[in-house]
Amino acid sequence: MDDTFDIFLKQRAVPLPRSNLAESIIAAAKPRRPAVRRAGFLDMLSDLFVIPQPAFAMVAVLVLGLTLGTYYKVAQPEFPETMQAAYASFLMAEGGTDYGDFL
Amino acid sequence: MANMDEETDESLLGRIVDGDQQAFASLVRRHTRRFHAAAYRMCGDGTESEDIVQDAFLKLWEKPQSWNAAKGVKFTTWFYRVVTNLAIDRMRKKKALPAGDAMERMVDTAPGQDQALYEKQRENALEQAVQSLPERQKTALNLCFYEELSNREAADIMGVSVKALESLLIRAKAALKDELTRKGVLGMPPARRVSHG
Repeated sequence: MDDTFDIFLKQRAVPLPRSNLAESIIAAAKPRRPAVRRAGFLDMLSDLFVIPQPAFAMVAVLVLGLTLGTYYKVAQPEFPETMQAAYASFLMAEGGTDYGDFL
Repeated sequence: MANMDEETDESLLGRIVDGDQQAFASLVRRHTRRFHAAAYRMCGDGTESEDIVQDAFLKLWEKPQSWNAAKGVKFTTWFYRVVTNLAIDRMRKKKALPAGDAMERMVDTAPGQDQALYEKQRENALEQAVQSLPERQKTALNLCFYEELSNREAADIMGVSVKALESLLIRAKAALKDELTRKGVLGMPPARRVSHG
């Protein structure tokens, strides 16, 4: 009985769609989305510099900067005495120079 | 391009994401009839089912990323879900056919066509009985019995367990049998069914 019933159920008919349905769908789709532009050289170049997670990158740079700033003192070169003396003598010399000497 | 007909659906979809219209055309030509039938079985209306298939394909064209290859779902399985959901949405908006309409439509045709009339009445009664099933029972029946998907696939499409799907199927068939028996469609010879006087 179940087999007979299944056979009967299978007789349920489905009408064919109109013959040009697929083509009309294709035609309707064309204006809906612009064609994707092929990536040029500049696009590829700019893609190289895209930061995937900007917020994460900024935080990482900030933490790194603070760490370096705290633990590594930037070397301040001692002003050498010889240089200091040379600078003083230069100033002295400049002080004793009359502008007329240059002219 | 010559081998586009041999490409898998998933490969075509990869190119549709890049805006390849030829790939889209190929996919549409390949599946329109199949999904039109699926839509028709859900809503029982030829024009409506054409609109449903068109809507589904246009949604795919506009947002091809909505099909996610990474999830490992076959295109057809995913698209059955899209078409089924669109059909359900439309059915909810549309008023249901009044009961008995399909049988009454065929009563006053010319004599001499008894057998054809009888067959048509049975078809209409069956269609009406299927359409009057609860939504989930009808979807389960359409996907498993008519579209011949596996229980696993149909369960995935409907978002239920395989057990629940099997239960829906059993209930759908039982309800159909009851309804068709009640209407006298099952097991009646044509001579008794069709009378004009």
